[in-house]
Parts: sequence; structure tokens; C-alpha cells
Amino acid sequence: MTAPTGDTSPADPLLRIAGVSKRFGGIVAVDDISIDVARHRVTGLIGPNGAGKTTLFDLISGVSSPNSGEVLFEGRPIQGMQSHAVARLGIGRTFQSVRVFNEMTVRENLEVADRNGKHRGSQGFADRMGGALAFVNMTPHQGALAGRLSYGQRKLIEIAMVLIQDPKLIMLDEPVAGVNPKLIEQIGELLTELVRQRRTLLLVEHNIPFVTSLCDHIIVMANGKLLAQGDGEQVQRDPRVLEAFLGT
Amino acid sequence: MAPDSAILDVQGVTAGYGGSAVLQDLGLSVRSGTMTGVIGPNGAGKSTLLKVIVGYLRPSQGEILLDGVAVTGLPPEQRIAKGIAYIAQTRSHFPSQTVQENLRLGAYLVKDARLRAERQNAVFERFPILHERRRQLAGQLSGGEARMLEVGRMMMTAPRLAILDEPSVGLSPKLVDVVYGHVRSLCDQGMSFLIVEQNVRKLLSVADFIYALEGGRNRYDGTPHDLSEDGRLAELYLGARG
Amino acid sequence: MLLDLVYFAALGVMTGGLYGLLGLGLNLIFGVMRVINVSHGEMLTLGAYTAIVMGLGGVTSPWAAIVAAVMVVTLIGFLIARYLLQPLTVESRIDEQRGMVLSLGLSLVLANLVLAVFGPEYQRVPGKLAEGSIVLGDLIIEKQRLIILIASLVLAAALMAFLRFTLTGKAIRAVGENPEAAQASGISVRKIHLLTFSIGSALAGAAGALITPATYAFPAMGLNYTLYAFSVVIIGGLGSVWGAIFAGFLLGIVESLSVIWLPSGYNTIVGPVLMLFTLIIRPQGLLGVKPGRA
Repeated sequence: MTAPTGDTSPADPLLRIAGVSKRFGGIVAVDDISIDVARHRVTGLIGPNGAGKTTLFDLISGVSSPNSGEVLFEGRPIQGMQSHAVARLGIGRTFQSVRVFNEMTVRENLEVADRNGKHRGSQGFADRMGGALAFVNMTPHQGALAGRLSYGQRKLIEIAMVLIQDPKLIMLDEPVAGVNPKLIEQIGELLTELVRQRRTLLLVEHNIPFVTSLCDHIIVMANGKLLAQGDGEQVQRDPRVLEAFLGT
Repeated sequence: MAPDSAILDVQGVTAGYGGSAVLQDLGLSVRSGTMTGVIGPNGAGKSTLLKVIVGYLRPSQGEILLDGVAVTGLPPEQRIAKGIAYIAQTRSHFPSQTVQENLRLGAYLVKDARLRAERQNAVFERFPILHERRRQLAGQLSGGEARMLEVGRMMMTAPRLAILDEPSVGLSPKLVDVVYGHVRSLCDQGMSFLIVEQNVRKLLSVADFIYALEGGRNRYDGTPHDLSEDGRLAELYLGARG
Repeated sequence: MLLDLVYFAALGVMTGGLYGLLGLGLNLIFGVMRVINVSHGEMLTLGAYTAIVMGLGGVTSPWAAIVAAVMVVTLIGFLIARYLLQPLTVESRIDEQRGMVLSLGLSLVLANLVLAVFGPEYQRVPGKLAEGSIVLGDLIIEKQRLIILIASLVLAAALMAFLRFTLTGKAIRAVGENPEAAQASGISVRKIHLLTFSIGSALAGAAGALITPATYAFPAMGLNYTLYAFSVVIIGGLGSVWGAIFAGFLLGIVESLSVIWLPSGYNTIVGPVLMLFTLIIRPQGLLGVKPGRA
């Protein structure tokens, strides 16, 4: 059951997921998924609750390993690698739960992130930090304790921590969940700027209008399986996609 | 109480966890004697809304009115005393106690022993399997039987407003129909219902009125018929226009 | 030799009843409130010193002293729960770490208060629960110790019946199992917490008052008994009422028998060692249930 891809990327995808499955006890969370993430594009991953989106993210970023199948990054298999090793290869990822170090300052958080990033060990941290903070508009908060910031501000810091690593693939897990409309707009602009810089983005989101306005290519998952893919319009018009969200 | 009055009024509620505002200035009401449904994509704030109504979570702004009387600020047990019942999404009973003990606890606030006996009989009449298993530990019941026990517990207080959080979760389609059959029949007897559901199609087929939430706000409300109109649902869930 | 064994075993049974009682109180508090009550032994200390105060005040009946001790300790337990534990309660649950740290501080404060008021000397209550001994063949058992055993068993039985058969008891168990569902039944978790902590403290206070006619009281006595209570709870299994009773007797007997082989003073090592064994071999305890809390 193949859906039109509408994807005109070059032949070598940055990330290729091939026949990946993941079981937790009796539950198949990810069921034989094969997807390509094209370079310099924004790909969105949507689906109802329990579709397996975050599990798939975990399988890519090394938080867990698949029972079968391969995850290829720049042609190289990375499934089963530990998450810090995956990060060092150039994949940066944010989490639904907003993982920043609450007991450390913003600067210290970025120091930690930088140590695992592309320019680790080299001079110029101050510049890199300055650049990352300026990009997310959080420069005045450099010395603030991360735990004292608001929820939205912590989300921005988490994005800065990913950016300071200068990754080749940026994975965002629900970047605008629980965030006020103004900040949704701001984050949308940030991501659009990243797209202009020809970065590769893969994001999971529940806010479908946000996804359709930002993403070139949308992948729909339901019950662990790949349901459909295409551009925003194609996905919105596909009756199977609507039915999946309505719980049938 | 006028027949068409609102048994529940949620006014301008803003609430959330740890700094993030899940509900933003939300309002809705449940008309007395109706089955009102709440749908919406994930993260829209449906479960949070129920927690605020039942009293597990304090809103930073807004009021909750039961029969016109403000209950914001009251702890859950006091709202239960005023006629609300709540069945949570996760286990809402006590596996280590027997079916009968579970029902007895459901009637914790009911002091009149004869009333308790009457209501327990009503529960057993409606759910003969519970009568059969009344001395068994609730932990030994199947998923569907446990749900029925939870409905039975709820019936012990004869609530005026019953709040259900995703009653279809974990149940086979046949059992979902059975549960909703009982809900409809209780509603016809006068109990008002507020139901959150992921299974939108099912809810549309039984509810009298629907609220659709998105991003913590009330995006749309109307009858299931209105909502099923072409494109409405697609617009809501997928943001499709036209 | 056999007589020795039987004698020490019998002695162990009698102290075991007491340990079981302490374990029950601790189990109740943890099972319902998820509070690891490090100050449990201090409730016993307070019970003991209340009995002493009564005795020094001229009250000759040790039974009156016991009743007074239970009332005083129940009140103190209630105040602790109301003014120290309640502020820690968020959405009907108490953070385990905070509860434990609070009770740790409390145990230090209480023990030192007793020290400041009564001084470090060992104290005794004048009078005994009962005079004389029972003679069974070659075995001589002090009546007093027997009474302590019977009292412990009676209290334990009363508690178990209360939890099992009364509505309030079922409500207490319900809050321990699923506080949100309990609230949805109209049960006030706040009030149940207050009640539970008061009952748990009362049991410890009763234990303290029971033992004073038989042994000495001193300000730091609580710590030892807290250790026993924890050993019982872990060996018997968290959340198991029968486990606490069984483990209490087991601990009492083994510790008592160890007197035969270990140099004196070393027998207090038995409890912790048994606890260690249990954690390694069967972490959930002998009769432990792993109550999956909702």
C-alpha cells in the first residue's frame, strides 16, 4: 500500500530507515517502517496517540534499539549505537519533556552540549554560545538558572543546545507542545530560518496546522505502521489519515 | 431546576502544569440531562480539563460552576458530595478489595443503609456479572468487567453529573458498544454526562452535543450532525481548509 | 541445652510480638502515605516516657499509664501529621524523599528534646504489669513478658480487623492503593492521612508503654526500635500485614537464640543481617506484595 511521495530529493537521503520494528513485550510499537529523510528538507511526522512516533525518534537517536531493520545515517548503520555516539555523528535531538539541566545555568547547559558537538575541543565556545543564544533570542539569560526559566524559555534553551552542536540532522520532538500562541509563532520563525540555512529537520508534532505550514514532506503513522506520506495538501485530503485521527 | 439549565459551567479557565498553560481561557457547559462529548487532538487539553472540573488541578484563572454554584477551590471529595462522579482513564477501582467492597467504597458518602442497598441492587441488576463475582477480588476482573465495576461504583452515589475520561480505552469494539449502551440508558434516566473520547466516531454516534478542543481552547461546539458536516472534522484534526 | 533453646525461643516469641507491633505501625504509615517514618522509634520513646511521668506522678496502675501514653502519643502523632506532613502533601501524595528527610529530622529533634527534659539516665517505672512467673515444667516465664506478648497480639488483631472489616479501614486501604480513585469516591485523603499516622504512632506509643515496666527507658532508645521496625518491615515485606507479624516473631526468635552463640551485645546485629539476606535473596520480603500503586 504505497502512497505518492511527492518528494523530489536527490537519491541519497541523509537518513534512511529500513524495515525497522520495535516490540515492547506483546506490543508492537513500530511495525516495519521504511522512510527516507531528504537533505535540506523539513520532514514532519504526525499521527494519533500511540502511533509510535516518539518510539521511532528513540530508535534513531539511540535511546533504544530496534528488534529488526536498519537505521542508516549518511549511508552508515547507526541502529543500536548509544545516544551520545549518535549525537557525535551529527544528529541533534530535543525531547517532549524538555531535557535541560535545571540545576545549571544556561551557559553551563550550553557548555555541556558543546562538549558533544561538532566543534568539541576547539576554541571559540563563547562565540558559538553567543550565536546559539542570539538565534533563540535568549542572550540576556545566559547566567540564569535553567530551572528558573519559564516552560517556553526552557524549550528555547533546549533548541539552542542542539544548535550549538551544529548537527547535520535536527530532530525536534513536539517543539511547540504546551506553548502559548506567540511563542508558537516565534518557534515557527526559528525553524523557517533553519530551513533557509539549508538544514535538515525532522519533527514530531500534534499541531497539524503548524506542521503543514512548515514541512515539505509529511509522514503519517498510525498503530506503529506507516499510513501515508506526501505534502501537506495530499495528507490533509487523504481520508485514511482523517480516520486514523478519529480513532477508527 | 429548569430542564434546559446547565448542570456544569466552565468559565474562562486557564490551567496547566509546571509553567506551561495547557488550557487557555476555556469555556464550556453541559446542559442538564444530556450526554456532552469533548474531542480534540492530542495535547489539546482534554484530560487536563477533566482534572480541573473534578478538582485534582487548580486553575490559575476561571470558575467551575455546578448547578450555578461555584465549586472552584473545593477538593475532589467535596465536589463528589455535591453530585459529581468521575471515572479516570486509568484504573479507577481497588484491585485488592472485592467487588462488593469496591461498591461499598463507591457509596462512602451515602449514610443511609437502605439507600445503599437499593442502589447496589440496581447495579447488580444492570450488571449481573458483578453480582456473580461480588465476592471476588476486583483485580481478577477482566478489562470490560472492571469498567462495569467502575460504572457501578459511580452509580452508588447516583450522581447528577458523571465525568468519564476515555471510557473506550482498552476495550474491544463490542465492549465499547456495551458500555456506551449503559451510559445512554443512564442518561435517559436523568444522569448528565461529560465524556472525553479518542474514539471520535463512536462519540459522534451517541452524544447530544460536542465540544472540540484544540491548543487548550474551545475551537468548535455543536451537535454531532453539525460537526460531521463535510470538512469540519478534517479542519479540526488536520487543519485542512475547504 | 534443649531447655536453653526452648527458653530463649519462648523469650524470642515474646519480644517478637513487640517487634511485629512496631512493624505493623511502620507498614501502615508507609503503605498508605508512602512516608518512610524514621521517627517511628521516637513515638515509642515518647510512650515510654509518658508512662514514666505517670509512674513518677504517683499513678500506681501501669495500665492507666499505658492508656495515658497511647493518648499522648496519638495526639503528638496527629500534630506531626497535621502541621509537618500535610504541608508536604501535593495533590494527595507526599514526596517520599521529603517525607523521609522530615522524619529523620524529627527523630533527632524528639530524641534530643527527651534528653533535655529528662536527662540521659536510664529510668524505670515503679511497679510491674504483673508479679511472678508461670512455671511450665522446667521453663520459667515471667508473667509480665507474657502479658506484653498477649497485648501485642491483641493490638495487632484489632488493627487487622479494623482494616479488613470496617468502612474506615477499607477507606484507609483504598487511599494506600489508589488515592485518586479514593478521592473520586468522596474519601478525604487528607483526613485518612491524619488518621493513619495517628494510628501508627499510637501503636508505637503503646509498645513503648508496655515495655517500660520490663526494661529501662533512655532518650536514645527509639533508634534501636526503629531499626527493628524496619527490619521487620523489610523481612516480612512492605505492605504485608501478616508479613510484619510473621517477621516480627522470626526476628525475635532468631535474635534471642543468637544470645546462645554470639557474645553479648552482638545480638543486635541479627536484625540488620536478616534484613540484608532478605534484600539479596528475596527483595520483596517473605510475604511481600508488590502493590503497583496507581
